[in-house]
This record gives sequence, structure tokens and C-alpha cells, in this order.
Amino acid sequence: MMDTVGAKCIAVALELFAFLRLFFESVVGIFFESGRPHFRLRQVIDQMYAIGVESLPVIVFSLTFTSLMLIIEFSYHMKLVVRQDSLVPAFSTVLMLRELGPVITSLLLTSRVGASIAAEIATMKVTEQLDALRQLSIDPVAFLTVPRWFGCVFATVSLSYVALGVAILGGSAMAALKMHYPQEQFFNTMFIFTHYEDFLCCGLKAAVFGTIIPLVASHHGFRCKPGAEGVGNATTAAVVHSTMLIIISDFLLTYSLYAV
Amino acid sequence: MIRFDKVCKSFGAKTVLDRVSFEISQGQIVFVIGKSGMGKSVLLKNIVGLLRPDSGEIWLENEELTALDELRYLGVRKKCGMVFQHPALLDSLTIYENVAFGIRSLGLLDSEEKIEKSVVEKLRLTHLGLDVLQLYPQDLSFGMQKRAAIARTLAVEPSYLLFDEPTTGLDPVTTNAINKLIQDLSRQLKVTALVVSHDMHCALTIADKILFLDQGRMIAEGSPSSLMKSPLSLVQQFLSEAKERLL
Repeated sequence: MMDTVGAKCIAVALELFAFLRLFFESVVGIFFESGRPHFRLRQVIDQMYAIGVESLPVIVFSLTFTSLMLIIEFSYHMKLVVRQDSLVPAFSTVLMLRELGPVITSLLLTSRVGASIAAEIATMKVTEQLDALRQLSIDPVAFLTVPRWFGCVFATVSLSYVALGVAILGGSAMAALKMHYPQEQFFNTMFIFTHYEDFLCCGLKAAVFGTIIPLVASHHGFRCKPGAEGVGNATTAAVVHSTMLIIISDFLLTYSLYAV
Repeated sequence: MIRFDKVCKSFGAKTVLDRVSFEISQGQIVFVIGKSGMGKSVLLKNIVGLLRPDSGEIWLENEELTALDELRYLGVRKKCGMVFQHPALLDSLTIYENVAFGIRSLGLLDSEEKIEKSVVEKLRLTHLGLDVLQLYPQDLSFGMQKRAAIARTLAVEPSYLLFDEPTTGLDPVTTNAINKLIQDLSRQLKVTALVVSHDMHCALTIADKILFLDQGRMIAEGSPSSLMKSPLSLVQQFLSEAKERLL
């Protein structure tokens, strides 16, 4: 029993060590490899496009419906407690900006982009493409992880803001329909509780989550075991671990940014 | 010259290379023959530093490789081109970009014109037409992908060519063509070739020397003619398989 627990603890510690090593190698990659001839700006732009632009419809669609749901729920709860719902736009916007915008965006990106990065790198490992890169003197972390990191941070931050904008517009339409709330009044009320810092914190959270997704996905891709099952397991682990890390880091960020 | 001196490599409890020693002279074509899972690919990956031995020494010309760090291995990898068991072409790049990849990453040529000339020349050497230049690996047959992988390896002008089962998964006609290609390249470019394979027929045809690896140990080595007389059962099994193919 103790042996099994000990072995599991060692395995978790080794996994954590490998992840931290990948993180530091990626940081080194950003600072030292970006000036080298094989660092391909085109690859970074491709990643920004693939992660950002191609995910835009899914994120906008999902966040808009979340915003509509929030308006309905807040209206119901406020009427229940204070018998009126005039502050619904303010509450829903604050919640969207501080929490749901960056979190839902990054969770959706985890399933769409994180899974894809993990599967791609794992397949490259299984088919010896990573060995071929090393044989050609290319560091796979600098070549694969760093562009995806740039792309993912850029995409998560910008998607969060763009999708939030659309979601708030959707929310205002729902408020007009359901609560007969004039649009001007919606936007005036919205800014009661919303501060400039909330916009900054939204961006900061999105950047942190945008870092977690490609790093966790790359980590599992690089450590993939041989065969189709290995690729499948790496992909699943990447999505599960990214999701957990995003939720945990969201709590830590919320706690340090707002609760203290 | 490549020299292995009592090289050992294990993965967990499994010993893959057990005190393996041999020497390859400049310009030779040497085949390493053995059953699957006997450590043949591991042997090649130890030369280029993709794996590191647990003990023993590996010499490339006058340099001992096992003590080299990753940075100093760059020079070794420039000298040793490796063709992997899978074609291992990068899916996101065209064939042109794949073949040019090593030249660019190692900074071997300074202008796009020279790179293009080199890519075209290497494709010609591997008998691939220029129509494949803008295609992606997935647009080519497996045999053509293997040729493109050989072209990519040749593009960095290595002094040593390491082939990991170059004909696995290929039909007999393409197998013969690839084997002929290995022989032609070795003779034309005067490079040393180390080929890991199951193909005894091909080894007898083109190798200067054959090494037999079994259970991680080098059980026999010699010229094709000397190995014909070997009493070892594994050698005889491979020889009889090669004879059957000839009939």
C-alpha cells in the first residue's frame, strides 16, 4: 500500500518536474530562439490565425448564449430578493468580465485547440518527426511550443474581449426583449459596477489561461507513449489537466486580484 | 570511422544493447541485421545522440560521443544524416520546405537560389520529379515519402548516412529501388552508410560488412561471403530466407 502511494507520489513529482522543465525551456525559447534563423514568424501568425480566427464563431456563439442565460437568471434572482431587476446589466457584465469571459473562452479553447496541439505533437512523436527535428538540430520546444504559446496567448486575450463585446450586445437585446429595458439604460447601468481594472484583470486571466493551454498540451504530446492509444491518452490528459489547471488558477487569480 | 566499444543500453529492466562492440571504416556500407525489438534502431539513435548509452564508448572519427552535451552534438548531427523508419517528414511543410529545412536550420546556404538548386539536386539523386516540390507529404505514396526523407537527409551533405529500416512497409519493386539508391548514393557521394534492416537479401547484395544483433548482443560480423559459412542458427535462418527470395 505504502509502496503504491510512494510510487504514485514520485510519478506525480516527476510529471510536475517535466512540466516545469518544459515551461522553462519555452521561456528560454521565447527569449533566445526568436532571433534565430529557423524561428518562423509565419508559423506564429499561422497559429494566431488557427487558434484565434478559426475559434471565433464557437466562442462568440457560446459566450452570447451564456450572457442571455445570465440576464434571465439574474432577473429572476433579483426579483426574488429585492423585488426589482434594474441592476441586472451591471451584475451580468461584471460577472462576464471578471469570470465567465476569460474562463469560458479558455475552456472552449482547451477542448478545441489544446486537444489539437496535444494530438499533433503526440503524432509527431509517434512518427519520429520529433526525432527528425532534433536530428536536424532543431529544438522541438522552440519549434513547436513557442509559436503555439504566442498564438494561444494572443488568441485567448483577443477572443475574450471580442466575444465579451458581442455577448454584452446580445445581453442588451435579451434585456430589451425580456425586461423591456431600453438599450441606453442597459449600457448606463452596465458601467455602475464595471471598472477599468476589470478589463485589465480579464486580459490578465486570459493571458494566464492562454499560457496553460499550449504548455499542458505540449507537455502531454512530448510525453506520449507509442501507438494510437498513446496519442488518444495524451489528448485526453491534455484536456483534463488544462481544464483543472484553468479552474484552479482562476480561483488563485480571483483570490489575489479581488479578495485580498 | 564509427566505433562502438562495449556499449550498453537498457530501458528499465530490459537490456537492449549488451556490451556491443564493432567498427565501421570510412566509405563502407554496413548492414545491421536482426529480428524486431533487438535494439537495432536504438543502436543508430545512440550515434546521433537521440538516445544516450548507459555505459561504453562511441567514437566518430576521433571524437568520443557519449560525453558530449546537446550543444556539442550539433556537429555530430551535421556529419551524420539519419533516415528514420517512418519518413518523418513534417506534415505542415511542402516537400520543398521539408528538403530545404535542414539547410535552413543549420544555416548551410546563404541564398534562396542556392537552397533551391540544392533541393532540386537532392530530389534528382533520389529519383523524385520536380512535380512533388509543392506537394505535402500526405499527397505522396509511402515510397515517395521515404525518398523525400532521404533527399532531406542528403541536403545537409552528411559524411555518414544512417538508415533505420529504409524498406519496411514497401513493395518489392520499391524496396529494390531504395536499396539500389542506398548503394548508388554511398558510392557516388563516398559516404559511409550504416543500414539497420531485416532484409538479408539486400544486405548480401550491397553490403561490405554485415553485423548480426540478437538479444542486444553482436553475435556475428563479417563480409557477406564469410557469413555464408556461419554455423549460427539465426544467421542461417536469415540466409535461407534470402535464398528463398532469390528462388
